[in-house]
Amino acid sequence: MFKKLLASGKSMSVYVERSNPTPSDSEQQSSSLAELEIRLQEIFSDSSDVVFRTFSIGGEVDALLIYIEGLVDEKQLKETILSPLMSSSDSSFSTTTDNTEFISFLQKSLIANGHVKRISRIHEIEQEVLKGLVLLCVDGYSESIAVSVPGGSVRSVEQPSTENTVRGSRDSFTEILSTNTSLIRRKIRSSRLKFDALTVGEISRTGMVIAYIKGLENERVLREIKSRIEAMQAEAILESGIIEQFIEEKPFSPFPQFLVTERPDYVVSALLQGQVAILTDGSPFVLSAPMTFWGFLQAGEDYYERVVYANLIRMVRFLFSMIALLLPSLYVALTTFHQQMIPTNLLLSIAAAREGVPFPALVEALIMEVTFEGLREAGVRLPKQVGQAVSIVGGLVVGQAAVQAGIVSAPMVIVVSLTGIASFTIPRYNFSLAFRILRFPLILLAGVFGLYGVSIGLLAILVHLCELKSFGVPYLFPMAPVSLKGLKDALFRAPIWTLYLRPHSVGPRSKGTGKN
Amino acid sequence: MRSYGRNDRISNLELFALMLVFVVGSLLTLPVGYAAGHDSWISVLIGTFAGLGINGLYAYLCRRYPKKSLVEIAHLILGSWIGKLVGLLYAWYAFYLGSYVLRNFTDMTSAVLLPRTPTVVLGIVMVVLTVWTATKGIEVISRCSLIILLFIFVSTFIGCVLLIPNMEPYNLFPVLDNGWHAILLGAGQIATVPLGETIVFAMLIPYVNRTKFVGRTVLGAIGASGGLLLVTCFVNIFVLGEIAGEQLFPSYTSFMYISVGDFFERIEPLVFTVWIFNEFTKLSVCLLTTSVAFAQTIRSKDHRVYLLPVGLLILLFSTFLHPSQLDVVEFVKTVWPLYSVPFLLVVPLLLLVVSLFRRKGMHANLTDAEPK
Repeated sequence: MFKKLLASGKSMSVYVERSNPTPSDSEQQSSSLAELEIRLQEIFSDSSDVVFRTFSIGGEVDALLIYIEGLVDEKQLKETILSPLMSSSDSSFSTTTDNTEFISFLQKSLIANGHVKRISRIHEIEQEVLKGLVLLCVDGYSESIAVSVPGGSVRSVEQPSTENTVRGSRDSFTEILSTNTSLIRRKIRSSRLKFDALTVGEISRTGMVIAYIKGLENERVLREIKSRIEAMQAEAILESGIIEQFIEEKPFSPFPQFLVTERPDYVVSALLQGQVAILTDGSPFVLSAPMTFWGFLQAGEDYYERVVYANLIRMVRFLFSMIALLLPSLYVALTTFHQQMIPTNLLLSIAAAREGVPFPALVEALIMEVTFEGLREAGVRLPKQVGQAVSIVGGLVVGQAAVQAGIVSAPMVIVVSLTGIASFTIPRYNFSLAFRILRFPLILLAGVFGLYGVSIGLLAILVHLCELKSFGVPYLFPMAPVSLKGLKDALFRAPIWTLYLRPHSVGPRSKGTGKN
Repeated sequence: MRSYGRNDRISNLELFALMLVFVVGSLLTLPVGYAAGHDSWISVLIGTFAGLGINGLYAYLCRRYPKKSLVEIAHLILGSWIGKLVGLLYAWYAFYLGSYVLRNFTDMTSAVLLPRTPTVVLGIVMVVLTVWTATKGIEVISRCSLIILLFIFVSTFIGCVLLIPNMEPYNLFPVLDNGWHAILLGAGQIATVPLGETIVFAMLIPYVNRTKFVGRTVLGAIGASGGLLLVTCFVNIFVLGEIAGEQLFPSYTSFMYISVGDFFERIEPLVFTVWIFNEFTKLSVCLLTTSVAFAQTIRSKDHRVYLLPVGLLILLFSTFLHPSQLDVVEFVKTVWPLYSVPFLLVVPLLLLVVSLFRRKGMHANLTDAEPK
């Protein structure tokens, strides 16, 4: 009982503490500058980065500038707002001072900026300031002007760091939403390319843009994505990955259901295929859905290079992704259960290498695979200065010394390193994770049941893939269910002129007319 | 129809793939149809035509009652009580078939891949996987079969090509050496065991989205399976000659002969993995049809409830039906063809005849405008 009271008292005090400075949606701005300043000071109390700058317009009218330091280009602010307003002569606005249109006069004639917007609610003022706009309030008027003077230090557009291609554009997304949309717009100069802006996250209020090409997009997917994003209840969105986890269909599937990329050309090609892209402020990774199994195995060069080479390289990639999934488990199965399948000479050398090894193949494989995963994780986290040390330790100690000491056999080291290399041929990082995860149950199954276990594991994966859908599009489309049109770009790709840049994936739409 | 759940529509192509994989599953693993030794290819030809007849029969029946399964048709035209009896009969048929599929599968896996693992462990793993798959519905199974079909084609093709050095076409002669009796015996096996088993698909045809083409699909699938069977039969005769009929797993034995440049030898376990896929599909279909037939018989809304019990019963049956593998094979070769005649011919024919009379009685005044 007492505890309960205490608890309620606590929550009350929290409530009071919070409610005070937070403006309600309908609170109007006061026309007195002094009152407004006090109110805003209250809202932005203890925020050292919010700058309140009072000055007078033409030496007559008091005005107040509010902005956040670091989000605004101070030099430009001075040139485009402060100087023209402060130095404007009496005569230029003596005719309009009595007029209630003074604010629009300011907006029209004195502020030399592109983005200008008039607002009158306290809560809007709060929002716009937090977004990084400059607020100009004038004494005697209950309206303010929000001016965009973007600045501060941001990362410039650089080469993509996780998705390299030999051929193709070299730009990659940055953390700034407007930069990212511009990178896409530069590649599609069409008014049919739409950017739908949203704000998500109760505290972080992260900006988001849903991009699609009107007439090509799959309406059902678009509607579904929008409704899921609106239904999302999150305090903060720090990365597009958080949105992905909120709105994907099967969160426990090892397979990703979104394309995650930092390359604008991939996003553009996805949009042209009818996909819907989600851009998030603060994240250089853009999501795009619906994706299929085959889509994850494709890279930019598949389309940029000539068709013969593109198909060859696609086959290589497919082969190696199968190696990444299966090689260790097949090795375990063959050496443990089905030695007759190994050619005799090879079998002899494997047997010779394994002679002194104290572990069964299953344990050996697990040890090496786990070690490799550890090395890989260390490689991602390590500070740049110690990279050399880790590669020496990893290469020499884990590789050579372990073999010489007879703890693991040399063929197993070869198998594991080949598997590791193979997993890097998968062009999408998030897709290769699925193969990394599934490798372990397959190794276990191979150790217990041999080839039978491997086939059972593969069947389970196949069943899961057949069931999996990305926003209503079957994951194995166009293989299961079959679509002859889609097969033009799945395992192989047809010559580019037959594709018309609309390969597959989103299904039931005819050529670019936008109808049905 | 309400009991079909969410994933409940398949296309004709998916039905085709599913049937093909289903049939091929036992084609390649069982020594059926080899009664006539090196003349078995004639058995295959005759058996395929007989199989086409059997399948045409129930495809026609299903066409007359679109969107109705065999059990529902029986309910409709024979009344509730006899309909229930027919429903139980077919639930039993699919169930018993499933037990044999599992038994044959575990026996073979044990003999070929894992001689020291208890067969029941292999069975448990398989049943768990198929029950899990069957709960996902017919759509998932048939999409899997599309991919599996690809594996079958590729592995059969590669296997046949690699066997070319071991082939001896003169094994075919002299033709008709063993007389017509053995040939017809083999044909009977072919028609009833692999090709006739597709009667369980009469429970699944209502799932197909375009019923109009189902007849063509069914006959096409049977024809294609017959073709595949003919190819494997020729390969086995070419490679093994007269002893083809005496092998426990003729196709498997043939693949043991593969040897490429003294390097790729004994790769038959790889071929066998494809057969695991086949048997998996076949068992899933048996499981699903048993549950659907049973659910429709007792007018239950959700067939998925029965999948796990049916799966466990199949596991149980498969272990104690026969004392040994040879016994199973002998039973499948000699008893099964006779045992399956009522299910494949008598009941469907009965249904067809009754439905023809019913239709005539009902529409006595109308001119006969039935689809042919």
